[in-house]
Amino acid sequence: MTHSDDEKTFDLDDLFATARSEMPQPDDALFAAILADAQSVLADTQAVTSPVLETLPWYKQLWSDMGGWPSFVGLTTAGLVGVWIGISADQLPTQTINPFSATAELTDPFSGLDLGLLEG
Amino acid sequence: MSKDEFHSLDAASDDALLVLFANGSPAAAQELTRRLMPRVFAQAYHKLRNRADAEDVTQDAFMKLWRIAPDWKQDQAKVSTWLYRVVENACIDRLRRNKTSAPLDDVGFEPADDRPSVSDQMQDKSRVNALYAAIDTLPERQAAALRMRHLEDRSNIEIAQILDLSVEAVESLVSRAKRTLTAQLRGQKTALGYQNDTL
Repeated sequence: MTHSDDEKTFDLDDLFATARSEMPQPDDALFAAILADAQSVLADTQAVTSPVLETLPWYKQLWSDMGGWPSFVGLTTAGLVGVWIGISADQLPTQTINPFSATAELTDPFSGLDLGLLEG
Repeated sequence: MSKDEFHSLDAASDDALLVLFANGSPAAAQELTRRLMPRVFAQAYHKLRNRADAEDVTQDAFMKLWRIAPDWKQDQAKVSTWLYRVVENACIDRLRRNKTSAPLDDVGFEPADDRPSVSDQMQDKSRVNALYAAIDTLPERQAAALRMRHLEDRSNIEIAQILDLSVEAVESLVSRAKRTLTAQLRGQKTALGYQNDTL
């Protein structure tokens, strides 16, 4: 390959070197800005992953320790059922069946039902 | 932070540093930024050719990196490759929004003090502007490979990972890009002041 005189005087690599040397260098302010961004992202991430514990007043803490609303509703329901049982106690049969008593009568609750009817 | 911690961070991979950051280590973020920011900025600058825009894109790219850190999977793309794609997309979006990149004449140069003369600086400026303009005419992958190889100083292996190509394919892309650039710029040789230049 033959080179003309022009090619000998024109050096592309020198031109690249000139372009590189003319490029401004990133300054400290840019470096600091990038690191400040990094710090802010870190702070955001840590705020999301570790929420600050909320300090409750004593009565709210007690309420929470006792189970809160679910516990309150359960306890109230149980209490009301107890009162209802107490009020309606008079209407309940007083005679109890003693399985060991010889006087206990066994009664057929379906005495009117004849097996013959079932056989069609 | 102890000296040992500094040494261990220095030896850690980018992936490991990102996981450390996700676990709450600001020092890992510092090391990752120190390691990756210059290249991210260079990529954005060579694409946008505007310092303020390049800084914005760099900061935004790192913000995305910090946010994705808790979900980062070490078996997925490398951090540098992921960042390259984020920056590339951000630059394309920004260029689309601005319709065109900053006028080449507005490219901000910060010449070193040992430059011999203002005329030399102006000549360098016009040559570099011509170089950027010529790169913009290349096919997208050629331009990307060339920028990474010769402006961002990345290795062919890294470029191959980023572009998902073989190293041979990268070498071929860069070679073709350089041939095209040489042909284009040789056509502007006189305008760029090369006729009496003994480079």
